[in-house]
Amino acid sequence: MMRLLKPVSVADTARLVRMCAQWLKDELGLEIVEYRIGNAFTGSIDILAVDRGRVYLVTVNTGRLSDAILESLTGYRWFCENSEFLHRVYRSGSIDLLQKPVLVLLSPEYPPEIHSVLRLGLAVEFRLFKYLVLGSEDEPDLYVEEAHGHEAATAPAAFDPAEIRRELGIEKAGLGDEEIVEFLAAVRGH
Amino acid sequence: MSVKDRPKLGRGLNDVSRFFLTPAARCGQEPREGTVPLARPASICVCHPASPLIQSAFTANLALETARNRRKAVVWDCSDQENARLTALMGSLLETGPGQGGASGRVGLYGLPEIVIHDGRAGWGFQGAETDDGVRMDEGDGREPLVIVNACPTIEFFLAAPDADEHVVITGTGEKDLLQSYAFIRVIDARSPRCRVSLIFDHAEDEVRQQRIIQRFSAFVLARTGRSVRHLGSLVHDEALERSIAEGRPLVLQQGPSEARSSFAGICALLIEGCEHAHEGAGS
Repeated sequence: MMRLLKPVSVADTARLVRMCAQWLKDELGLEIVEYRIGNAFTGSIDILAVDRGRVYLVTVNTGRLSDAILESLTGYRWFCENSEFLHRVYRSGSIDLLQKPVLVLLSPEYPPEIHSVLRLGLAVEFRLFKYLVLGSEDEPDLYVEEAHGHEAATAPAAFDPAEIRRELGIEKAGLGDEEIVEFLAAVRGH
Repeated sequence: MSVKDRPKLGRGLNDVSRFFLTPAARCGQEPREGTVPLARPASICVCHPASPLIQSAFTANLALETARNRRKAVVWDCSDQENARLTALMGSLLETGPGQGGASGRVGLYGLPEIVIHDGRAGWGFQGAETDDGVRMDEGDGREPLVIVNACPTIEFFLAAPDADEHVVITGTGEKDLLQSYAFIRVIDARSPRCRVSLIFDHAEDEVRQQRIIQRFSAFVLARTGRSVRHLGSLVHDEALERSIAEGRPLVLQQGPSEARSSFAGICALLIEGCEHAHEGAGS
């Protein structure tokens, strides 16, 4: 007999967030630092996690994707404004919240080319995961997979030397585009 | 000179302490035999393109370490950010307020040469490093005063600023931080080809990564400019540093032992020592 598994919605978002956190811990090896940190006025993060050298600011989308992206970016701003304080509070042997943050979004679905849109529009790194809740509301099962951007190979790189010069206030230093490219390649060890 | 020869002795604690506790030349004393006034005193310019506040905190501690090394420090504060002014970061130590005596502030430490702070927003120079009669101040044991410039961390400032003997660039270790610092070094190199350049990491990660970054950075700078960059270490951030900035009480003098204090003091000591050796080399 064939059974069709239909997605179920979990009304208890706190429970869903904890299930996602468990997946991030088990499958990606992240260390969970805190849940639901921040506030609704200035920004919040559903899951704050770390691994070696990176900080992950995780948002779990339980509504509209546009709201979740806005929540993620607002949470990112809140984190940047409070990172030193958070670092002092949560610092331990394995937790260093002053590392470069990565925004992680878990959502049931994404529009096409979301990766190239985010890459072109934002300076901060995003990782997108699709999730699906099956089973029943009382006993939900979570399935998660990373949403890889298949369009990434053909998307133009978001690298604009003139913009970097403006951002860093070094327009008058006389660095050419080629020199900037070579410098960045050198410090990356290429 | 004996105590009884000291004119107007007893005018105040600073005078007395300076007179009795330092091996420095006394006011009115002839320069030591063989001391030749140089064209200009040694100078260090400090710049942190991404953080004027950490830059000024470092400059304040460098000035205090200079005094601890029994050298007068003449500091030109060119920072245009109000909360990063040295008069704010050394507020608890200032003897004179803004506008008094030509300097924007003075710090007198018991038994040590003073620190004179000038407002350098309209430019800086080597004036202020002389005695009243115009002779280059000599502290008696051959230690020249040190001019420290707390830079305005913009490319425009460096395109117009006078030469300093040593430029200290403080930088984060992110790619953009390093690129920004490289741009400043390129300008410094073009403007002051003979100066020395030192690099300090601000709040860097582990030692291994620091070494990897400085190797790559230095190799690139060397290939592009033919100049070697000296790495002095990494400034540690902790609560003591935050407290010192918030209270205007510098780390090396007015905060208890901490990782940040050790890192600031150690790097300042390296910088001052290197400056002395370079100056000795230049004189010989």
